[in-house]
Amino acid sequence: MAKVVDRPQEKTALRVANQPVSRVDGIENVTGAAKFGADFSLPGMLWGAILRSPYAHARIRSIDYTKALEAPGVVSVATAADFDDDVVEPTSRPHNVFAGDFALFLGEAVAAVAAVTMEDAEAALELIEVDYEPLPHVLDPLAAMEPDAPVIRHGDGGEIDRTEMSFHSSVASSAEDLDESGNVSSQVQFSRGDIDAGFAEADVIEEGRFTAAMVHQTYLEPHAALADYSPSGDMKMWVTSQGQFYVRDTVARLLKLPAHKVIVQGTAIGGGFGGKMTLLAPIPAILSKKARKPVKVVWSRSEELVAANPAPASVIDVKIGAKSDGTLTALQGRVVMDTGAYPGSPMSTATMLLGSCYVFPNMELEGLEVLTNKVSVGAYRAPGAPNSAHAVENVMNWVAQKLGMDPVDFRLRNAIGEGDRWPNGQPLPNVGAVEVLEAIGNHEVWSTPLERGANGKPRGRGMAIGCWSGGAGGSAATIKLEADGSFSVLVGTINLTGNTTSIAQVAAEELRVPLEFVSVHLGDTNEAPFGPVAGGSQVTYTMSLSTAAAAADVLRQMKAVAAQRLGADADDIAFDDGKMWAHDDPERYVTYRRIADEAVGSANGPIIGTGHGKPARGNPGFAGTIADVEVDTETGLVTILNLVGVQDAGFAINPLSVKGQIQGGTIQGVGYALLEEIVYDEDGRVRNPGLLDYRLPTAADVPDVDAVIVEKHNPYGWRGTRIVGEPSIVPPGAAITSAISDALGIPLHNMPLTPERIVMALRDARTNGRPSA
Amino acid sequence: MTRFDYAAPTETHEACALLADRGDEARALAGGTDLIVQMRERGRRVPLIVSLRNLADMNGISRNGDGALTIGAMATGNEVHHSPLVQDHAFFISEGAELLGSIQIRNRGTLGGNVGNAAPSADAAPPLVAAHATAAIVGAKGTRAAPVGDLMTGPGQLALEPGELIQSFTVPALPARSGTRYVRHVPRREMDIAVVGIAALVTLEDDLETIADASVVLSAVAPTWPHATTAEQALRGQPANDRTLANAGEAAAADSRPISDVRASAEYRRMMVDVYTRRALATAIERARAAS
Amino acid sequence: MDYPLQLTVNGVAVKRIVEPQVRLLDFLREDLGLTGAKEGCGTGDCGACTVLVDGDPHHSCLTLAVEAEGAAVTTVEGLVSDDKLNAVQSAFVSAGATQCGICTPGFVVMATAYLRDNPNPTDDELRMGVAGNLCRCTGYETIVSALHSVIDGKVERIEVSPEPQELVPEPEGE
Repeated sequence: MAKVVDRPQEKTALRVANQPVSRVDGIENVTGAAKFGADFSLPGMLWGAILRSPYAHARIRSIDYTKALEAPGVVSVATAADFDDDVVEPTSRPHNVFAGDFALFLGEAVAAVAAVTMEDAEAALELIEVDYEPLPHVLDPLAAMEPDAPVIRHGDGGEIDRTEMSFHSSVASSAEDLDESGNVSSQVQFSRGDIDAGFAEADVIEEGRFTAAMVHQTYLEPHAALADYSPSGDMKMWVTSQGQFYVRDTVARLLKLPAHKVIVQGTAIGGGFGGKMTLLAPIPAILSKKARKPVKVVWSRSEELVAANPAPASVIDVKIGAKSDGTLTALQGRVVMDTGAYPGSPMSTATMLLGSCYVFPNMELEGLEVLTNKVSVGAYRAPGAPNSAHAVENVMNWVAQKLGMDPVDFRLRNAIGEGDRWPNGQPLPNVGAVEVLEAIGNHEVWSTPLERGANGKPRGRGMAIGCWSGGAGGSAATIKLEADGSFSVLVGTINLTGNTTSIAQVAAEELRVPLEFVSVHLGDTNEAPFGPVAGGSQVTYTMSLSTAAAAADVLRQMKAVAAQRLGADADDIAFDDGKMWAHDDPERYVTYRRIADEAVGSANGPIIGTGHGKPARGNPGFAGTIADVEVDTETGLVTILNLVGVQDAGFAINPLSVKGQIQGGTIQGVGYALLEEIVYDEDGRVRNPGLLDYRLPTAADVPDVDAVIVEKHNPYGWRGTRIVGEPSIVPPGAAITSAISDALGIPLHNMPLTPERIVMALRDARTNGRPSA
Repeated sequence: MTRFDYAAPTETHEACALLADRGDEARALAGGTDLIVQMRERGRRVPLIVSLRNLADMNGISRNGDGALTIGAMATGNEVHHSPLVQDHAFFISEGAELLGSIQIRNRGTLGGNVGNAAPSADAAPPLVAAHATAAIVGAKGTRAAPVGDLMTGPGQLALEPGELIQSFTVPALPARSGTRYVRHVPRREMDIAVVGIAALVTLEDDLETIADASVVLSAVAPTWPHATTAEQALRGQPANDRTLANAGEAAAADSRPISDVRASAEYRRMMVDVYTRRALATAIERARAAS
Repeated sequence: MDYPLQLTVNGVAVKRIVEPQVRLLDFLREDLGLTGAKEGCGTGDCGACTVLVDGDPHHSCLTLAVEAEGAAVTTVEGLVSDDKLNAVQSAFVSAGATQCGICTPGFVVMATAYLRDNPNPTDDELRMGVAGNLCRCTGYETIVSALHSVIDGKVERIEVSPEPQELVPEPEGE
């Protein structure tokens, strides 16, 4: 299945790692037994509901909730007044639980009510009297940069909180915070060589301005959280989040509680994709603290689409020059990223990624993060990278076409590799850009010419690559040897889409037992060792190392016990299949079960191992897409004929899971390319706050994705493992829009390419030779 | 959802009386696929819900002695879609019903609800209008019949008196050598709302080359489900060829009165009326020939 | 106003008093503790709340509990029989068709009903048949291939709560 390009010889045959393994918790999911955020309830629990700003920009003169508190069933009401000024970072969305002096987007939380029933809570919202002074608002990021644009204020300023973005990328952000004089909240610049000289020596130059829409992660499970503030002062919480420790730390800070008194149990999570960090949890926490009863809050889908933290819209200019032999000479780029009402967008990453796949001797990149009166943005699987790839990869294909070169060959000539530098100057380890490109070039779809369809509809082909740096944070795990010779692994990291299975595989591999003898448990924040946020593709990358370290600790203790029983030296102990022996005498063995039994009474005591650490460094993951499309030029409807997703996984611990990640990310890219867009009206109201008009691809809209795994050994990962989750979403938008452009013979610049945009672009091309999309 | 009262009478006259009595405060519940969404998501207040689920005389699909087809208002989308009687009688009614939504939606949503909800973008109603169906309307004063095409007066607005309910639809037998088609434009293939919908009924002359009569009804491009009358005129007596269809498409586009909304601009909608009118007519003509 | 409600849920007769605004989804989840059906959208656009009402798949989020009077309701919790997953559930596990798992219960219920009514669909018919169920993680390929394995009769039903196995015997003379 996997194309292995580079792997050191394994000393022993692999037992379960690198094997396709069904989810260990699959049965829980298919029977409805898995408990997600909204599935937890407690006796005496109250329901919380949230009042939201009806204005895109307003001063809040006063809030009076006296009548709401007197309403039937209502127990507590919370507003911004419940949080002390010294815990609220003005520029941090997660810390601004409720709008304070200003509401900065339509739908921003203003107050919340806890009541005996949901009906009571919702009814009470209408009794809260808020005195708003509507202010002029601005929705378009380019308009927001104009000198006379309304200024979106954030109190007295303060340092911009980039915590969430740091989960996703181990690459340092060099963005500078700007003062509050305008709506540009931060900017970044990267340069190399002499840009003018670079373009002067180019034989071919192509350029374009590309837009990408605001899209929503659309995890199918809306945010949900249950908080129970006990008389002893413990805040026990059940939260669907990608990072229970991050939730814990945020709630502890906001409510001024000691960390150990905030006990967060991460639940099964119905998708996150970067968007489910800690937006909701402080609300039930403050309501519960005030009510002294458990409070549950579950967002509706419309609240998700109006007030969560979607992925940013952007306007990206890219200009690329190349010599006639295909050598790149220059890259110029400018990213304007719409961060919504709070800073913290992936602008800096998106800007840097413009120059992340190829060697450009001359480069000038600029990024601007702009505030608007829309919901603030967050992370969505490789945040900002699909926007960048959309721009760069389309222009790369135009340059290849003008040069008369195969787009893969053109890219191979310039592909980035070990020792080359990213725009921030960071030298790269052994990335798999070349191997991914070769896998695309060798793929059957790429080498088979695209036939014209019998129906006469034009067809086109596009390809693109992209990459993601990924996170490489600290992590820890503990492993216990249980009485029957089985093992339990305790982790504090969320089981996002099956990484528990990969952790179990790592433990089983290192401990040399069948997978069935290992169970992985997610403990709450007091029980479990620290686990990284399940973002930045880092869980398997980091947890495989700490799990292996914990296994080594367990084995060291087990060997000591076994050595004593066998009368051998611990260094001479060999092990496999649940038994240990002195390596010269495999017939005389001691079972793990016996070791567990004897350990309890031994000097070692019960066997428990811990592993903790951090990968020596991150190592970016590359991915590529081939897309073949057919376009109905009368209606603009696009049919995807072939879709190939290639990705370098380093060492695929679970190829079934890796393949699933490639397929899922690629289809999310289809959403970016063709369907998804949060649309605002001129008042700043979301016009499509539901899943009917915010369109995810359905099973009927997408083809199968041929997922190709490339394995280029990563020296910093467990047995060569690389990050996996994010890279697959980066290139599909670029590849699909490029394929449509190829089919129609006109350049196209926007995502998503809705049927209407395609028809209008064709019409404009016919009438004035200039497409509008 | 705010609290409300609920009644599920077993007799139609009881339902009518409850609805008449409470006027604007009451609302009939058929499948609920629109009403419950309006109440939950858009804060629509309905103090009394009158469920129609126990009204036996609103169910069923049957052929009458005169060759007409009667479909109960509470027939679900799936019942209408899969009914051999409907498919045999006027295939585009089955096609429209199939587009009410996913299988789950079609198990709840009803034909009466699709008409009664009076959304300009309805998929099941336009074929009824194109086929000159009448609705049997029951109320305190008894039962009356009205053309389905006259029922809708605007978005969400029906020409019904308080307490009146649509009981069933009667679709007259289509003339010989007729073919039908309902087709809509949506960005996705399923789970979507019509950007443009076209219901076409074409009757051919004996020669199977000349259009004797045509009925073209538009969805999602006007406040109601109007006939594209200029397009219909452009078809009558004309040869069934590409040129005629092109003329009809242009005429239908001119007949349409679309608005711009989150789903599409008026301009694009008008262009799609042209495209889909041609396509719907071509299939209807094909089917008329195949049936002859 | 309270209404008496009688229905059968997963084969068990249930009598309760409910308020009419309570949806079948709320009733199953909050009153009966059957949290398998999920609310992904509340508007009938995602399919995560799908349950069988008298055998047919319905959105429990668009169904008032009082409208299920007298009905036989089957939720995902009712699909296991003889201590085994049904064929669709088994195929989902084997094919890796469940990632985060939030859409899985509704998808499994829908697909079970669809394949019962359409045992031999084409790939396109199958995809249209389950198009009312959204999945954000898988890109659908593993789901569709799982369902094809059911159609092809290639699925071995998986046992729930399997017996523990012994890893390695104690050596002789211990």
